[in-house]
Amino acid sequence: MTSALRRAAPWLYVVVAMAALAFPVANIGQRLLREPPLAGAQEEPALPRPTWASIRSGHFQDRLEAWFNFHLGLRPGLVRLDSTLSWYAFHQTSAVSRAIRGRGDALFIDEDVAFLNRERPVPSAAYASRLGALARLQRTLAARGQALVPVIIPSKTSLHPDEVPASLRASRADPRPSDESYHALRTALDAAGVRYADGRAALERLRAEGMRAFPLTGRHLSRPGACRVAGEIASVAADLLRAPIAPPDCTAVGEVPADFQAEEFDLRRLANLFEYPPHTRSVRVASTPEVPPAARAPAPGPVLFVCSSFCYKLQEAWQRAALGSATRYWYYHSQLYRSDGRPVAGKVAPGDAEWRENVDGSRILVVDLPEPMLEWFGYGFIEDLSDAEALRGAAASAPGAGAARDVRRSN
Amino acid sequence: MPFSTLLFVCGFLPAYAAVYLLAPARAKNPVLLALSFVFYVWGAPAFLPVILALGVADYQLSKAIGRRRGTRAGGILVASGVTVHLGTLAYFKYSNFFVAQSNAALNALGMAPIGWTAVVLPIGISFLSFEEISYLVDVYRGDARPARRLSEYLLFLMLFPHSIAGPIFRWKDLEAQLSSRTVDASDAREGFGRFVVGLAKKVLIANPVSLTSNAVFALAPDQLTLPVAWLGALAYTVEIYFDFSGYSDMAIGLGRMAGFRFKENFNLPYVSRSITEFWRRWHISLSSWFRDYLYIPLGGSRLGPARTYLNVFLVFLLSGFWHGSNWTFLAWGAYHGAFNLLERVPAYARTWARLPKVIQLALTFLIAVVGWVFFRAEGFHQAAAMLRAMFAGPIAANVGPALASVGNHRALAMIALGLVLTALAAVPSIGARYRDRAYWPAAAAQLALVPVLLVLSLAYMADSKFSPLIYFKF
Repeated sequence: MTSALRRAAPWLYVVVAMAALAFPVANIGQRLLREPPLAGAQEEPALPRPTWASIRSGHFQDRLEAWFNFHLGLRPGLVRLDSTLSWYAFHQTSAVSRAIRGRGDALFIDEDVAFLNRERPVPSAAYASRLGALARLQRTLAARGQALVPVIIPSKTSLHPDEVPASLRASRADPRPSDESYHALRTALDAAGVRYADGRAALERLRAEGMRAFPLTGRHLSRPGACRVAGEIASVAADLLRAPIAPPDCTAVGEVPADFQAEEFDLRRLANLFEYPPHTRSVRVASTPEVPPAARAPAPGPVLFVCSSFCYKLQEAWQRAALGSATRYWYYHSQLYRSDGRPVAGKVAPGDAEWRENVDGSRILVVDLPEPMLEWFGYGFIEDLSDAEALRGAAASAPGAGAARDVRRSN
Repeated sequence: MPFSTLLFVCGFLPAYAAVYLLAPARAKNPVLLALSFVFYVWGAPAFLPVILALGVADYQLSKAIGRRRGTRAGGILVASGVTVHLGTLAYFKYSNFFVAQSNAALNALGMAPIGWTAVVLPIGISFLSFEEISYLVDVYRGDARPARRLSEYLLFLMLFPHSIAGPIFRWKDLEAQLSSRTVDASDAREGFGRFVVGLAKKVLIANPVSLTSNAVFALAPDQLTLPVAWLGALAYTVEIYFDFSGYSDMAIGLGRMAGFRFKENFNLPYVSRSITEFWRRWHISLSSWFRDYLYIPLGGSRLGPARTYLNVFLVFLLSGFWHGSNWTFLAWGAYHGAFNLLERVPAYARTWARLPKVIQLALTFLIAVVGWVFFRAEGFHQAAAMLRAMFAGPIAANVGPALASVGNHRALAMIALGLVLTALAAVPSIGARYRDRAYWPAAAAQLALVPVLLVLSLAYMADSKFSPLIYFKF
């Protein structure tokens, strides 16, 4: 019996090993094991159809491998295992993760660290040509009773550079090129005559009060930070509309939800560790008002945020402060997506009925100027808005335009 | 389909093991040939007709050569076969390079460039060409018999474990195994274990380390400081050894699972005490190929010192060029050739022999590290910048950030681990004990290590393929 077992043992070893290796493949079709999905969005590759041309060129093989890798069973567990190993053994996130571990377990996105380590300031040519159009639009819309408010959103590394480990903070001349970029942007906005909300200045004041402008493990603004920036936006909007808007009351004690899905933990979640992060404990945060709450003013009307992911928190802060009657958020990333606090619901085509209805129907339009993305971030919305205004101007000057307007009104 | 992919490890490997091990003895070669076809179609479908045509031509030619062994006609046949294979290699591997050089010269002369569509390099062409050449030459020399069956010869050429990165097989070594071999449980288990060790070398050490070497070699010359340049060179030294020897381990292991006994391709090259010894330990199948099919036919060391030196230098020069179609590979070959020649100079050899062993070891390692700079650099400009930084570069005041900018903790740890493992394996009492099958703690450690290394490798492979967007809501 013993000798038979001894003879069978090596085969058993191989059989078990091969079965274990094949299990993830079996799980693709059968879903024998359900696993919690990984954090982070990844486009699901489609199962390719083989054609002779696609096999010959290797495209079929590449696509099939991408599909295989995406659907392979145990993949979430394997990714978490490697990420957890990397976190505890090497004190860092996994090699390809975009989240970077900083001091005191602070997390940064690689893009923000790269911004901090810029060797040269962002060339103003990247945005300068758009600022003239922005100023003109701002004036045109203000004359029509709409406030177009650009808001400077700083990089997390600009507000909390001390939390970026020295090993990842490149030595740069003082002022750092990243800071120079901010000052150059302000100068350019002032020179073009653009009224803007300086989110960075507001957050620096908040930080001076000992509050966090950005959460430790999130990329986007903290609740107090978002509230302060919302206050800046309200102030600029009030000036443009020549109407009082009550600043948000940031004195309220807020509570960072323990919900791991909250954006306060987006980078931590992206690290895809096995353990339940300690930072998901609910944290009470409080902020003193920068401007004492004024006498309640009437709600300014609908607000449309058209910006990067930073505006999630701004919209949330705006709603919490009950500053506007309705808010809407369109995520801009080279293309417009309607969002409204949910995963993107679909694309918005510039100039179509939905676009016009929301843009024309909003009292305040907020666009962001995020520091780490100044070079490339889509100024497309400003261009679309300019195009729409040009069309509107052309239509207004066309013969019979007044009659057309009258018809629309009567409808 | 590289071995270090999830598709291979979780898909192809279990299928290979199941189909091959369950196949009856008579069906094992056809099964292996079919799997090798699938493997080749996956990786280089456009090249498949070429390899098949060359295989059929070799098969027929070898029969004719076998009948005319030692005759002038046989010599002409083998020469024509060798010419075809070298021509194939030259076309696929070197034509882009030669056209680029010609166009640069024409451009300098103000003439119109040669119109050219870049040729895609088929996987394994360098290995394949040398195997085909050795087959024809061995048949002519009488060192091997012509293949009896075309299917056996095609299996020799296409055997999937070696089709990507060698080792370079020789027909005379595999002929008997191709026609008759057995596979038992210990073959399957040990082959699998060897495969996993190779996978771990590639995935857990070479891949993370490559992040650092790639980052350093991507730096502009003015960003290179002395510590960063040395880190990059050391990283590449570790990467190339663990990558290449890992692949060889995987090939040997996969072959063993089918009952083949392939020759070793690496033998701890970084513990060599001379460059001559280094080349006896590094990519052994290539070194021995050049020795048997170029150095010895050129006269070897039989024609006096001057001719010997010339032969040695020529072999290294061509060996360098075999690795890649760039001047830097020629420089790398010349560099190693120069040290090989130097070690043959009696005065130098005497001085070297008087050095303590540890100094010999350190100097040889240093020579190898510097040599890899030529091997890895995109061109002479980059190699010169790296070498300048390594030997006369600034030591940046802020060394930590400079190093951290090109290396993460994991990569740095793996560089250190790679060097330590290499050193430990070279300690006879440790290395021999680990390889001693009768020493039960070593056997138990190997058995236990294999699943751990496999899971960690799979985890790294899965993680390195997972690069999501932060914006989870989208």
